[in-house]
This record gives sequence, C-alpha cells and structure tokens, in this order.
Amino acid sequence: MGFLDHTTNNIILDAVLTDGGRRALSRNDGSFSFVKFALGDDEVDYTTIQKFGRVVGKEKIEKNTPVFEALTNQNFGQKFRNISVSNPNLVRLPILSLTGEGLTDNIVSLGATTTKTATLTTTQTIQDEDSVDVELRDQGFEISLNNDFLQLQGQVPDLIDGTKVATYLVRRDSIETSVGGSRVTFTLEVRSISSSQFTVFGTSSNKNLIRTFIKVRGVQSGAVKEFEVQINKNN
Amino acid sequence: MAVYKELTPNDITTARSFLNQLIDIVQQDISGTTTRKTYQPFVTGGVGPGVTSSLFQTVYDQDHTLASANAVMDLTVGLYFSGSTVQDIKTGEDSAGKLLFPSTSLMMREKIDIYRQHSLLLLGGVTSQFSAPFGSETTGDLINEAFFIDFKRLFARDGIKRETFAMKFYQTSSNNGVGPSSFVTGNLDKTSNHGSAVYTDAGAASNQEVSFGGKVSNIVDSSNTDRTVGLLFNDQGIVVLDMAKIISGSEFVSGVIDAMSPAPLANQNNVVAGQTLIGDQVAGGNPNAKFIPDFLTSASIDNIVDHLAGARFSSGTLSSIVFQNQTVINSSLVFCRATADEFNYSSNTTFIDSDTRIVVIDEGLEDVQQTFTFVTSVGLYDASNNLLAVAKLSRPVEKNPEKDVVFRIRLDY
Repeated sequence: MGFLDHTTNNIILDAVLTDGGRRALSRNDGSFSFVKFALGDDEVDYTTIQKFGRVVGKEKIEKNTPVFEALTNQNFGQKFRNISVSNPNLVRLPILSLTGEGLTDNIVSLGATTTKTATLTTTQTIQDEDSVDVELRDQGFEISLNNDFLQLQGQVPDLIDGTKVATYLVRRDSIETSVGGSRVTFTLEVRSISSSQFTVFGTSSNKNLIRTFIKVRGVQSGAVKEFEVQINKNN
Repeated sequence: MAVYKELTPNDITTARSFLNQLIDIVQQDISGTTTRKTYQPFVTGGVGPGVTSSLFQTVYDQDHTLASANAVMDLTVGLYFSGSTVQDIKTGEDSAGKLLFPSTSLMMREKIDIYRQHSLLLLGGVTSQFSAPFGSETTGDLINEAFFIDFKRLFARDGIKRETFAMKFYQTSSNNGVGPSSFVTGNLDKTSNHGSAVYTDAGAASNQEVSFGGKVSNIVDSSNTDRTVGLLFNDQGIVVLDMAKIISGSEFVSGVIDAMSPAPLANQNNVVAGQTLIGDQVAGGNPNAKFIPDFLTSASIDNIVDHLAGARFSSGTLSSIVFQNQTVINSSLVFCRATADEFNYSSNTTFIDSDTRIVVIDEGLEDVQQTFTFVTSVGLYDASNNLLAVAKLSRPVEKNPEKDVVFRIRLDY
C-alpha cells in the first residue's frame, strides 16, 4: 500500500515489480525498461456519483474507497485503465460487444472432440451517437486466454507468461461499423486436452467440463470484454 | 495513444538511501545445542575410533532442524602460524611444506588454515597477522589465537554500521576446581557466571579505518576503552577477537575433549575411546593445563567452539550480541505526469451505464459538466505493453480536465 507524501505537491507511492518485471530483469537483455505508463481505477465504483451526486459522491469515493495492495501478477495488476481523449465533452463511450458461434449468455460452448472451434467477433458499439470518437477507435486488440486449453487459430501468441496465460495482439478487421467502431474476428480453437486434465481442471460437479475465461481489450479505447468458455469433453 | 503515455528519459531518475535494522542475538541461541549446528567434514583415522569435528559451527535463531530457522552466524577459531602457540608445539615440516605436530594435538593445520583464510580475505594475504588495535605492530597487540564470528548475510546485509556493535562475554571460566571428581565435568562445559565484560566498537565512528577487507573498527572493552580486544570488519560482517585478551588464557582447564585415544581412560568411566581428559592429574596427563596454549592445541575446533559458545556467552534470555546492519537501497524514481487533458475517462465498467452513457455527468447538464475520473494505481509498461511494475495509491485521487497531476513512483532494489 502506498501513502501520500503531504510535504510535496507530488503524490508519492511505492511500486512493486510484477512477475513479468522480474522475468524481464532476469533476462538481462535490456528488456526491463519503463517506456510508458497507464493509470488505473480498479477499486472505484462510479455509480456512487449517480447515487449521491457529484459533490457527495466524489467525497465518498475519495474517503470511503479502500485501495487494494498492488498485485504482482501482471495479468491482474491493472484491470481498468483510464483513458486520454482530447475531447473533454464526450458523453458516451464505446463498449465491446461479443457475437459468434456457440455463444449463449456471454458463455461460449466448445468441445474437446467435434466442436473444437468457434469464430467470434468483438465489436465496438456505442448508443445514441453518430460516431465513435476517432481517438477511441481500436486499431488492435489484446486477447488473453489460458494457453493450456485454448489458442487462436492461425495466430502466434506475443507472450505466454508464467501462469500459462497467452496474450495475442490481433489487428482489427478492415471493415468498421456504421458509426466507425472497430471490430476483430478471431477463431478460438480447443487444444488437445487429456482425460487427466479434465479430471484435474474439470468443475467439481462435472469433471467432463472445463471452465476458462478470455479477456479482450481494445488497445486504444482500453475497453475490456471478458467472457467464459466452457469446454465439454464429450462434444 | 489513449491508454498509455510515453515516458521520456527525463521522467526517470535514481536515488540511493540506507536502511538500518537492529539485530539482537540472545545468549541461549548461542549456547544452546539445538540452535547450534555442527558439521563433520574433519575425520581422523588410525588410532582408536577417530575424531570428527566441524571446521565451524552455525548459530541459528531457533532449533536448526526446523525449516523456519535462520542461520545467524558462524563461529570458529584460528591460530597464527608464527605465533608461539603453534611454534612451541610444532615438531617440524615435511618436504612439501606440511606442518607436523605431535599426536597429543588436534586439528592444528585446520586451525592455521582458518586463520590464513580470514587473513587472505580481510588483510589481503595469507601470512598477514591480525592485530588489535588495527595496524598495530606492538608484539602484545598481535593476535596469535583468534576467535572468529562470521555473521550471515541475512543479518549483516550490506554491512554492520559503525559504533553499533556490542557483545557480552565471560572472561573467566566457571570452575577452577581440582581433583578427580572435577576432571570429568571440568570447567569446559559449565556456564561461566562471573568475569563478564562488554566488548564494543565504541569510538569507531570517529576513527574510520579501512583494510583490504573494507571498513574495520577496533573492538574495545567498554570498561576500559584503551584495551582493544579485537576487530570488526564492517563490510564483511566478521568479528576477529584476540582470545588471549577475551579469556583468561592462563586459567586452569579441565574436562573431556576429543582425542586419538584407542581405549577408555583408566579410572574415568565417562571418558570413552576417542576421548581424553585435559587437566588430568591422575592418569598421567598435564595437571597444569591452561586454556592457552594447551586447550587450543589439544582440543578439536568443535571442542573449542562448544566451550566458547556454551560457557562464555551465558545461557539466559538476555542479549548477547547486538548491532545494527545496513542495507543500501537503490531506487528508481519515475515521474508520471498526467496533464490536464489526459486520463479523464475510464474503461471501468461502472464508468458508463447500460446505455454507454458516462455516469459522472448528470443528464441535462452535459453542457456545463465535464468528465472526471479517480486514480488508484499507476502501471509501468515496457514497449510491448507488458506490465513491469505497479504502484497503488493509499486513496483515490481525482483527475479532471482542470487538474495536472504528477505521480512519483519509487521502485526499490
């Protein structure tokens, strides 16, 4: 937990290296280099502003929001990032929506034998606006998934971390939506999963079913879409 | 880029600071047999069952067999090759340069090697001799018999801070009794209870000397600071004590020690094969045995360290050795500046409602109200967007289009 130093106008806080940072240090090849930063607000519930108004709501967030300690797992270190847009008068922001094969209630159903693939599309959508702000149109998407069970067909992961989470950086489709939103189409493919893996990683109520989660993040907008994938041993 | 902001070389700087920790080693950790670990690298052959001994013993902060025990320091002794204790007993030297000693002595070459090893590390040469005060060439100041305390890195860290070291030590042995009944129990394994002294590096801050082994401080008797009894090598975390000064070397010594003896000692049921009596007045031994030189030449390193650790530091719960270590902390300072027009929106799922509308702007007041966010963390990334370090604020800090904020991230190594 970092603390504010009230003796200066700056806000002082301590940082911890993530597992990725330690790995970069150990490589000793110059890859440990801070090139950019991002701000995050994982703990903040902005609906407090709606409930209490801007003045009281702000005060409640500032004073009544305990901040978690920094996590060293780089996959969870910063979940929600703040966004810079030069236009200060935006009223709406785009979100990511998911469509595709085998999708029901934000859950994608796949099988280990026959239905091993599903093609999905993530699209930037915005309501009641004529267009998505140019600065928020994603040119690429980061897709993170469990490398033991899934892969993106025809793609090579940019990083596989120590927790076996593979991150793919995928370029957007050339086609955009009517409001200028980006979209990305990718095909999920189930890897070869052994019976013993189903025994270990299967749900406690059904050892023929593995649940895993995928995160898609727009590189420019920072918008995140998380969804569940269920892999059935017998399908 | 809307999510990340590039850092320039001017945004990153380095700083150096120091952290001191107080280390307190209690008497019973040093004296206890379960907290002191022995090894068996030295094994003799030939006569009798032979003798096994450590070259040093390690003191732990609890039972050393427990996985949670931390090694605190190593204890050992050394003899200077040209000192009288070695020269008076040496019988010769073979053609290869190996020193020869009578069979009544034990581990003489190992004791000399321990001294030479410390000389090489701390004084720059194997033939160099320690002296207290440091650098003195007066005969009485030269250390011929040394007691070494080597603190583990876990406790010494980057070095021992000057003028913080103190240890309580008993100069006088427990029992000077004579007679057959006292030989077996002797005074070797009895805890001393009088003649205590406090040895300290008082004055080291105003007399900062340096050797091949880095910073060195004189260790003096606190009751008479003109009496220098040893040296503290601050950077190495090693204490070298002159045994001729910290114990009463001329005191009579008695007790059971390891020896190359093939059979139990006559009339002494407790002395089995592989052992003998020092200070023996009955079975033809030396009735005038002294700690220096007799005990130091006749006993194994284990015997000597057992006596020093078990009897001379007492065995209570009081502090026996205290010092402050020093850790150098190198820090990277990264200044992350969010200008007025940056980071005023959020990808937090609560930042917009189900209609993708920003919730912090009241409906109908879009023309007068502007967005704002709160910041709770700062992530530092490499060129490939890998999160290398993350910092958290103690409470959320507001960011809005009228606010310019600088976060100073300190990363310690």
